[in-house]
Amino acid sequence: MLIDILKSFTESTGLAEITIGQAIMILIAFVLLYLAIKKEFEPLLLVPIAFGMLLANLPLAGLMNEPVVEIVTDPETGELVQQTKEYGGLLYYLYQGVKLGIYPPLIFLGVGAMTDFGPLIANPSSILLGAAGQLGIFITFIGAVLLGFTGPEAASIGIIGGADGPTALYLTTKLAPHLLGPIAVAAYSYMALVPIIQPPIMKALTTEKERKVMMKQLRPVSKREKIIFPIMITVVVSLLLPSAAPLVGMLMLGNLMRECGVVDRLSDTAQNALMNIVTIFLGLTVGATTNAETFLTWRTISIIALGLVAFSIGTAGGVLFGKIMYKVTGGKINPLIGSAGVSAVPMAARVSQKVGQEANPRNFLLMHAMGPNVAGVIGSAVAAGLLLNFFGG
Amino acid sequence: MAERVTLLDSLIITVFSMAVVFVVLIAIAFLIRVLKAVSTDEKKEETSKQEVKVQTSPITQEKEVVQVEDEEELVAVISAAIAASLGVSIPEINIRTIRRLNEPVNSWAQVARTEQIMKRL
Repeated sequence: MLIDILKSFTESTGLAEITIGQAIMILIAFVLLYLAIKKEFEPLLLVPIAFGMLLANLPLAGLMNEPVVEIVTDPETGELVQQTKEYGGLLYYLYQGVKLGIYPPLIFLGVGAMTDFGPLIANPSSILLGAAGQLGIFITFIGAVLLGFTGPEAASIGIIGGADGPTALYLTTKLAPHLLGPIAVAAYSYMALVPIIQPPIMKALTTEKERKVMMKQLRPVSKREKIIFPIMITVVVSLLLPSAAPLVGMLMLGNLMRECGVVDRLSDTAQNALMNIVTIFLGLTVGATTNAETFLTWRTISIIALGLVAFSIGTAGGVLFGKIMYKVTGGKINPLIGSAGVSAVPMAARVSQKVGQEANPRNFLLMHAMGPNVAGVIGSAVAAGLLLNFFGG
Repeated sequence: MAERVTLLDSLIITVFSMAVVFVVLIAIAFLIRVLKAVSTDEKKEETSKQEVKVQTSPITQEKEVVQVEDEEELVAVISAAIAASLGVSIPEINIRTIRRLNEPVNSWAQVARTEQIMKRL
């Protein structure tokens, strides 16, 4: 009798059901938690992602289970109706915000409310560096195609090179939702590693003389310009590229709330409370998509490798274009600000500042690098819109 | 477009997309310039008004007085700072000259900024 009870109890626990794959995933979750908490690697994202990974891989907990729906004949009207037989898991419902492309634009709303487009408005030619920084996306796309990924998958992998988490997630959920886990992990880890990945590339591609260039101080930007800018960008980009409208529209709405000065409460909510709430849901459910069957494959490794290529080429593209601008302007532009064109706001701009200051301690590039940096956000949203045009639906 | 894409397709997509990214962003840059032209016209009027005000106001005398005081204070502050950083008291050091360097960026502000940035990197 006692033995029977013990036996049925042990069979009902997760331990009896756990697979090797799940055990490995749980271990990976532990490692990520360690990196987030002890080493402070993007902890705001990595803590929820790693915990989501942990929850989704615990056997029998069923947090990511889809609801079971059956179609029955209504006894009174005789019509076929849907009936939920079994409700889905908690994370399944939260995941709908990722799947339907709701969370990434909401994050963009907060990013817009936190971003100052002043440096870009003051020096419009720096926007070109934001375009050049997108080179990594497309070169990686070619690489992924060569490695045998399908078009939509390759596009989603390439967008890691946009160095923009929400954009990468948005595009991936639309084109290749089965790769969401690896792509999110790759995109966010490389964004945390920007200060390590970028400087060697920047130094290799520039001369000491170029790195020492001091740039002219930016002109002050009027409030009127700052208010008109987000409205103008929304109209222009959405008309040219409707598929980029959700991302660019939300980004610019957030920015308008920041700059117009009459809705400070909304701006505050967008950049703090709302942003934090969405980040929790997004991180948790993105982590929960990493189940053992889809994550523990050679494809994940190649995605992570391609992601690094994407970041490096994006950086190189920006710096090389910066060199062209250095030549064209007769040495007025420091090519180091080009690397900030990959977005990764504001980390990449800080890296430009740091490398610039190593070459010339008097140099102050941060605000100059913010121009390409925020242009990079618009650039990656445009690139994502283009890829959606090609492969979506 | 088909699920599988060939290398040629991907090359075409790459070239086309990069071109579109550049065109869109160049268009934005152009519009920003237009925006600047529109709003600086008004600014010029504002600044010219301000200039008139400055000319009529008799603050010039006060300014000089303030500067002299500032300089004495500055000497005191610099001596104190040097003494503190050397770890000795002020009478023990002899400052011959204090020369102002013409720097594009104030070095105190520079140090503060660097510290801020290094903290966050």
